[in-house]
Amino acid sequence: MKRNLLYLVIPAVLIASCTERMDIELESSDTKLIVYGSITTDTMSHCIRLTQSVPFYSNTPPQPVKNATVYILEGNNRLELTESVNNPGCYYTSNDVFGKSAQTYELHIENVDIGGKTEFVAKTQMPELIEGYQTNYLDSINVTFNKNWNGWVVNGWAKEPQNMRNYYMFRVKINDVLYSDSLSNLVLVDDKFFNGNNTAGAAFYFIPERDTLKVGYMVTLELCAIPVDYFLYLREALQASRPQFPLFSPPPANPRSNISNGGLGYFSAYAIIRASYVMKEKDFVNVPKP
Amino acid sequence: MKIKTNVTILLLMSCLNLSAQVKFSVSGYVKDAQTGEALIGATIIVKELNTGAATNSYGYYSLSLPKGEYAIAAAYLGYQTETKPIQVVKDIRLDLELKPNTQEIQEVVVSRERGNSNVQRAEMSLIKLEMKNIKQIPALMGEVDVIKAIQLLPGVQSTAEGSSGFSVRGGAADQNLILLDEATVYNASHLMGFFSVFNNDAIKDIKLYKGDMPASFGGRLSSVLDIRMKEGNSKNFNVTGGIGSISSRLTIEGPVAKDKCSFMVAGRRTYVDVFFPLFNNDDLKGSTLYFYDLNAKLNLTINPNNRIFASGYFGRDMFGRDINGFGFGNRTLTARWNHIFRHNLFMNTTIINSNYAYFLESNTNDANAIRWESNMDELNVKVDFNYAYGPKYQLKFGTSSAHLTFMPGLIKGTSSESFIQRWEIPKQYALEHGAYISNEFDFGRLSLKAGIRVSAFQNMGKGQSLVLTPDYKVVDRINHAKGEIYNTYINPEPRLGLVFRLNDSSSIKASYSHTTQYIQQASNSQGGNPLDVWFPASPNIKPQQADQWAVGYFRNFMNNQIEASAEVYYKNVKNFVDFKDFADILLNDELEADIRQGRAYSYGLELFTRIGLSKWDGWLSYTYGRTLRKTPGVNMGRTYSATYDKPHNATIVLSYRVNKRVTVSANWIYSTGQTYTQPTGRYEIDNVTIPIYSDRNAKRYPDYHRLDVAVNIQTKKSLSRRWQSEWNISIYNLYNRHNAWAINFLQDKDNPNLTYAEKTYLFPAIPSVTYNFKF
Repeated sequence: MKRNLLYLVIPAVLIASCTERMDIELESSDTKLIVYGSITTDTMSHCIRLTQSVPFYSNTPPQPVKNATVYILEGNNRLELTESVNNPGCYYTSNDVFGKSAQTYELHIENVDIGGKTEFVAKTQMPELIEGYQTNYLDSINVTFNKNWNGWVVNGWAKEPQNMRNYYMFRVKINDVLYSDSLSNLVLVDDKFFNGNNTAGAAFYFIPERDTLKVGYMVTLELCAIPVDYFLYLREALQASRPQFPLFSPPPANPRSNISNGGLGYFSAYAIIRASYVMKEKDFVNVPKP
Repeated sequence: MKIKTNVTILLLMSCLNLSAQVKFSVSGYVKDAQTGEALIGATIIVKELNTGAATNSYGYYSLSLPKGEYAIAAAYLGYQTETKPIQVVKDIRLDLELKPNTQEIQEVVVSRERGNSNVQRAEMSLIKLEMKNIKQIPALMGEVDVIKAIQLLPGVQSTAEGSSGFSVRGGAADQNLILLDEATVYNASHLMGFFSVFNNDAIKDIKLYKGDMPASFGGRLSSVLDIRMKEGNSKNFNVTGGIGSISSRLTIEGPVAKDKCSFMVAGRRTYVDVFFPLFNNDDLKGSTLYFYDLNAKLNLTINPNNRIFASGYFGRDMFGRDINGFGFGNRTLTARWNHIFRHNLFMNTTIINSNYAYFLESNTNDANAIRWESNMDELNVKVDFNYAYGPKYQLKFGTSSAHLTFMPGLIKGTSSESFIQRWEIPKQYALEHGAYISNEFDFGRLSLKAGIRVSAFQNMGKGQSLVLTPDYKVVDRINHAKGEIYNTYINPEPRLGLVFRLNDSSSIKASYSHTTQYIQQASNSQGGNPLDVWFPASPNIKPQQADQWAVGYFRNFMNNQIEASAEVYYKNVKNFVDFKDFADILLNDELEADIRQGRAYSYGLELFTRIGLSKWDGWLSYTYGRTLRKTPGVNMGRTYSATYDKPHNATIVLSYRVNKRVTVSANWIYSTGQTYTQPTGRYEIDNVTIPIYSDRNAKRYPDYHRLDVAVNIQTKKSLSRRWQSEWNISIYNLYNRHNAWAINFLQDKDNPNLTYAEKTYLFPAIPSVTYNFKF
């Protein structure tokens, strides 16, 4: 919401500006281990992805870290992760793993050699979840076309739990395929503005392409209750990925990380709550013809 | 610092022993003979005693002279010097009116009376700009601008290209006290900073103090920009106006009762949005974008000893797109009473209200309908006295008290279904007080100026203060009752200056000033933007304090037509307010937890030559300056350069009068490129590339330079008509240099593994035409 309104301020600058490419030499930093993955409340095989950073101008994508020993400690319980054969650098738990309320998870990565470091650890804690959280947070959703914004809006009916500071990440699936396939199209929300409020049809997610949806398509909103530190990590990572402009951008910096030994990225644990909506004929009545 | 404070107090006390001789006062106003406007900073010279004084900000001077016969001369740049013989046997009231130099006179008079007060007086690091000169400086889109002119002075930098923010001797933009008729202007920019809030036609006088701050000013560390509005012509009605490429202006001024009461009203409005359809940009369809300003002033001379003034400024920027709106603006109101007591005692009492507010809103009339507001308000009462108790002594003293209200952010739902009903960062209230005394001592070739200001700042309820752990976690909130003073800071601020006159045209000067700043702006971006909020010192945020030392050599040439100076300075700031990485500065009710305080320091050399020949006007300047910061928790605690740490900086601002009607002017600016942070590596998270950054601001943009030119053509004057007009044609960035405004490191859209550097530049060569008139 804050961001949407801030876009108002920008056109004044952009109408006047022009761009051109330039040659600038860059120094290279040491190679870093990059970790990204999570344990969620879904019972499934969870993935932790290990890669290495590359120099900024390098023509290669960040390389996977292969043959590492990866496991997660869930209290006294050790969950082994195995590297995918088809997708090197992706390490999976067995398919019966699910995250539990307020549980601490400790990720261990061993048998690697990155910048002389061989062992890395990351610790995270699942947020405390209220009884029956799967249905309590999110009641239902619908999807409407917003003419002013010229796109589809996923509206939510929800009851925000009181007396708890919550941090949310919203994602959308269309016909069970993840539409929010990148960090840049996640929606991050801090409940401080509406703690404990009922929300009756507030905009939770925006889909700008009008042709994405058709009658009969199923739109699923995933409301993820995430730990505060992960919320801040996502916000910082997003900020770091955006271009810099003197009027609005804070000084560039490296996002936080919970990986030890100079590793970057994040290991997190969060809950997923879902609601779905099947697109109906009447939802398309207001859509202007292209 | 304690020793310095004690020395200052001793000097001030010693002055009380000096007034034993029988003396009489000679005092009065110095005014423009054509318009009746008071002349600020006019020089009064008593030739027989080799002494003098300058008129104060209201055009008033006063001297204390022993019995005798004297010739009193009043001089002001651009005016004919007026000399009056007087016999002092009693207190004398002597008001003087100076005639402006007409161009015809300038043709024949080789030198203009400029005076050598810049060399002789114990004040340095002060620049006075004349509106007439500012109007000749080529300007972006023809919008002549005070702040853009100031950015061309030595020791002053713009914080980003096109920005109205400026850094004085390495200070942050919020360390400048910007005053319009004594009222603080909390955000001096329009249209994202491309224009300032000051309408030239309404302005009379501009002074910029870069250091050596007079004790009468306080509250900011780096500079005071003192802007005074015109009083309004007290002799004739005048209409001045202009039609420009993006805005138009109109000023009406005149007497209500001749020589007793006059008024001035000035307005300006832009019409940028009228041209939006031409840009063929979807984002701009249905958008509005404009700003306007209104200045008004009324002054009344009740009798020779009492004058009152009321003035105000009101400005707004409005942006709208579809159902969303955004607006921001300043309001200032000033009411003043000048009173002259007997025996050379002049008093000015001022009541001021300043306000800066903005809003953003989304009028969707559903669950998403909200309005976001922020507001900063100041109510200030000041009393200042000037007391001339000897031929060479001017004692100044006064007090001020301000009540400050901070409303950093309020969000309220504007429809019954709004999912945010009301959310507010608790308002904060504070009192800021100041009391000062200063005096000038003359010991022949040496003059000394000593002053002390004592400032106090109090946080006041109703409010909430945060309890922070040493690692900046909020562990508690303490509520304070209405009117409760829950935190007080008191700071003595000594100010010292001296001049050693080598001869009539050269001198050596030195100064020291200690300044304290209790309120600051939460601004984390380089150029600043209208959403930045002000916040006060508190139990968690210590006041920022600066010590500045400067030494300079001043020399005038060619009968004072060329003024040259070299100054070196060193400034050290304690408790500098910095922000942790990724600080959340908007709508953050725990802002104090994101603040880190450290040290900032800057040093430099400024060379300045000002030219006021019969046909040539302008200045040349060169600055070598560095600005560094060291804050625990920022850049891993290592020293880093500010973005406007641009060591070499040179400007040439010149205008040449070709003939009576045509003036050609140009300015050329060069500076080392600004600093920035480069990425050294990259990685991917969820299909997004994240750069790995090295040290903050360790690299520089390419050097910045630009040439602007303008020609000013006055239409032929006809004696029978009052109508006077002129055309101003200018080209900004004549040789179309693509100076980097931002440099970004991006991925190729088709191949994300191909990365490249891209520069964004704002202004190619931009021509503009403005038509100005007066009748």
